[in-house]
Amino acid sequence: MTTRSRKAIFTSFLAFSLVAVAMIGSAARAEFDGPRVYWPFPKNSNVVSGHLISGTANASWSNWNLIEPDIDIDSDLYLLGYTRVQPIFGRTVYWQAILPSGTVRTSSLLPDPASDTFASGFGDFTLGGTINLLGAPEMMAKDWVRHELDLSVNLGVMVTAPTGEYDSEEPLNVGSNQWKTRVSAPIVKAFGEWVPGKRTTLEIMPAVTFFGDNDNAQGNRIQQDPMYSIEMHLTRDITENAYISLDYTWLDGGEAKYTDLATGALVSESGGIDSELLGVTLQFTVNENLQFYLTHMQSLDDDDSSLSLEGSMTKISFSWSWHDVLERVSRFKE
Amino acid sequence: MNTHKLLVTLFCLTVMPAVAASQASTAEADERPNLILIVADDLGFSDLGSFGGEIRTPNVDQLAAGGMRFTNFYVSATCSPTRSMLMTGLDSHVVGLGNMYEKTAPNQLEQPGYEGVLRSDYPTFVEVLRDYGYRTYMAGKWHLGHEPSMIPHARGFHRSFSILNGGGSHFDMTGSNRDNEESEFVEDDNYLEKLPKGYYSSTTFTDKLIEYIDADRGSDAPFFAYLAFQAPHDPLQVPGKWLRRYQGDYDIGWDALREQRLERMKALGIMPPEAENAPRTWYLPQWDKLTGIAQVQNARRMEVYAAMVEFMDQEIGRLVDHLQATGQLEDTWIVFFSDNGANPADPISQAKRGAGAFLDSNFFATNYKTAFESWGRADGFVAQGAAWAQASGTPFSGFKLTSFEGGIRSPLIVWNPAHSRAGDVDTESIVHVSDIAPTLLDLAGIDSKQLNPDNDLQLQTGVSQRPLLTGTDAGSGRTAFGMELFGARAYRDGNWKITWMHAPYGVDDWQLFDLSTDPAELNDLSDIHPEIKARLINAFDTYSMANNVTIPDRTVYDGVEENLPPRPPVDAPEWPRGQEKNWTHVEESDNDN
Repeated sequence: MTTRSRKAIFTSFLAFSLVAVAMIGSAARAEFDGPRVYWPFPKNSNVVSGHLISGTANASWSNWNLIEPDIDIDSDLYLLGYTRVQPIFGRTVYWQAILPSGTVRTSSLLPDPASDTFASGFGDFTLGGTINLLGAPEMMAKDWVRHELDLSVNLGVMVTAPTGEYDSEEPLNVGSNQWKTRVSAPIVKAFGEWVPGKRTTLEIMPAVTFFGDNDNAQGNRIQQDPMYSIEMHLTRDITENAYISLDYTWLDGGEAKYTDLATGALVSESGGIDSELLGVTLQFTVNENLQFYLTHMQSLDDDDSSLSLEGSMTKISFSWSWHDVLERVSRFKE
Repeated sequence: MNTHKLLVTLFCLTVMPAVAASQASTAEADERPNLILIVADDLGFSDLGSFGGEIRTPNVDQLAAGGMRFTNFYVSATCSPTRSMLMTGLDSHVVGLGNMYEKTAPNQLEQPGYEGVLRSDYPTFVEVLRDYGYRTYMAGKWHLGHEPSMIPHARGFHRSFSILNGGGSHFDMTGSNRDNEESEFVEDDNYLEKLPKGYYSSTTFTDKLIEYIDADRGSDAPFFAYLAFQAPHDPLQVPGKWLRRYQGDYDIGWDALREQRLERMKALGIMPPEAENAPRTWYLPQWDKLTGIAQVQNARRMEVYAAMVEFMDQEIGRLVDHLQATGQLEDTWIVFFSDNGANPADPISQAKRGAGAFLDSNFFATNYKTAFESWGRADGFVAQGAAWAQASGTPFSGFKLTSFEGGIRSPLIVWNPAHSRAGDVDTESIVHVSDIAPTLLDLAGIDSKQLNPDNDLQLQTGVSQRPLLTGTDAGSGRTAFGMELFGARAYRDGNWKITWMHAPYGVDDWQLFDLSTDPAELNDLSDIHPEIKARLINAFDTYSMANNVTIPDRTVYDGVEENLPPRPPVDAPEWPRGQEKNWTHVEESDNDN
């Protein structure tokens, strides 16, 4: 018997069509997770994701709710993310780390024309985890193969540390010089057949972000109230290897007080943010490991309110995912 | 058609209906029973709960409890030859299905008896029933011809709704292979352009049969109804809510499943206490050596298969309940069996290899979803596969397409309104599918001799098993039968059976088995009882000559031996390959000695 025939015979017992963990989405950043991030995946799945983000808005990407109505800030960012599915308490848990970097600049006139309008470097490092509460118990690869998503309820905590480049004398920075803790409850509901090419999900991710103080922003201390957000994605497969997502995000809160560091006097107040964004994501699976994403988001506000985020963002992402067992199975396929 | 057959046919068409009409006009006609014949497609011998299976089949099991089970009931190794014998009571090589239409060999082309469709010069027992005043209905798979003169409407059924092909989607008209890209359906004599809304084979067939029965409820005439399920033939497909009905139930694997089934079969009296399981077919992997993920994937095949079988059982229950609710059940005989053993074929894997691989693959890629996630769904294609098929045929060797018991022995249940011999398991009597027609005619009070228009006594002809069913006689008189398909051959006489099976499944030669103690055909007794073997070979030759058997010069087994791994030197479950602990076992044995 030839090796080939042995392989052919045995392969009949491995009639896989695994798009494998390539289904794992690409966790982007705290405020915008993106679609299909919180689908259940097997234990020991790994994802490395990269994101190229280009946007213009009236706020810095490092803190959306510090809106400056009269300026435009251009951002070119590069994010590197890593996600590992490592269960605890018998539940699926996504552990995530995100390291941003890039440049931000403004082409508008600032209050002080002499100010530097350019900043670059690493952003704030984010680390956290999301545990599934309902719908995705801990799964070995063999369990995951059998699993079909119905309703998934998760609880996540992401902590952003003030590790990024920050110059307290500058009005514009890549880092935010403040701790952030985001608590979210991603909920995913699937509709119809759980078959590649037919999957439809509605994803709702309510979240609240708590801000630590920025203890030095051009001589001021910034104290911020929590910001509330709801991110929603209606996703639908358009082929077995691609999907489209209609993305919506609502942001509210984050009111800030600026107090003089030396005197403690109130310098100014910011009303925070009250904005909506609408976007579309297209995803394409290249192979069992590699996926590409294209996202465009646009703010819906154009009322010149001091609370309105105005701008747009385009993001190109890729993710490379792997799982030891599924890799071996995949390699065995004819 | 020769003169004699013509006269017989004319007699049937003219005189008999007059007789029937006169019978129907008397009170005596009202006493004739209704007859229901239910046939499953590719159901294994041990799948039913009443035959030792774990699949939940309460409705069929209830029929078994109120009737009889036969453990020595034989069919052909595939579908259409069995159905030809079912319809005519004669051997498949005589009535046109000497081979399947799809598999006809070069040396069988143009030969009478190998038309691949049911010959019109042999009457079906349904035509006879019709001529004697029965209302006749059919819903389900036909597979005996597509031409207007060959369809159920032309072969005796007053009302019929049929898929004419051998297989296809259970949800729509998608065919099963590139030669049958679209299945052909008929209702009566109308070739259908579209199927009823919400079509699912098992449900729609049952609906149609109930519809036909109800439509004639005002009639005094008894009815014959043939419910020919397409389930559980591949593609394995079930309604969405049933997809997960057996999830996890087969994680034990095919090896353990066979052991569990055999124990239950012994407890039920289906198998003798000394029966052993045949070795797992040598090229199939030991379940425990599969990775977890491969186990889960393979288990899905059987999960869907089991769900299909249970769904079919549910529909049978719906039919029986309807008969009970309408007061007809107490006048009705019900017969249930499978057309052949469980199916080892895996068309998706096969489509990737061999001649026409591209076209076959293209067909499946175009018409079905073959990825794991789609298995069992309306547009998915998955088959049971050889390992589970052998488990479905516990404890036998072989499966569909073979002349081993796993290919040709089928579960038979006969429910009768008087509940005579209710619950009995008949392990002695040999019953053949060709006996169904004369038995049903006998139950209807009709002489079955007209099924053999030439009165050729050399033909292997079905015999009525009514005496067995009514308990009026210990036996029917049948002690033997022969079979051949694709060159695979068998002849059984009493407890002895000779089997000729192609290598590497068999040995390309006759083997002799004593089925009373060795139903799995493990021990070839050729050297111990050469005289018995010679007698049976001679009997097969006589059968073969009389029944027009032409051994094909091209078969589905051509090239198989080159593509399958050779049998290992030791092929015994207690001697697993690749496990060094067996050397310890040997040493311990030596020490014991």
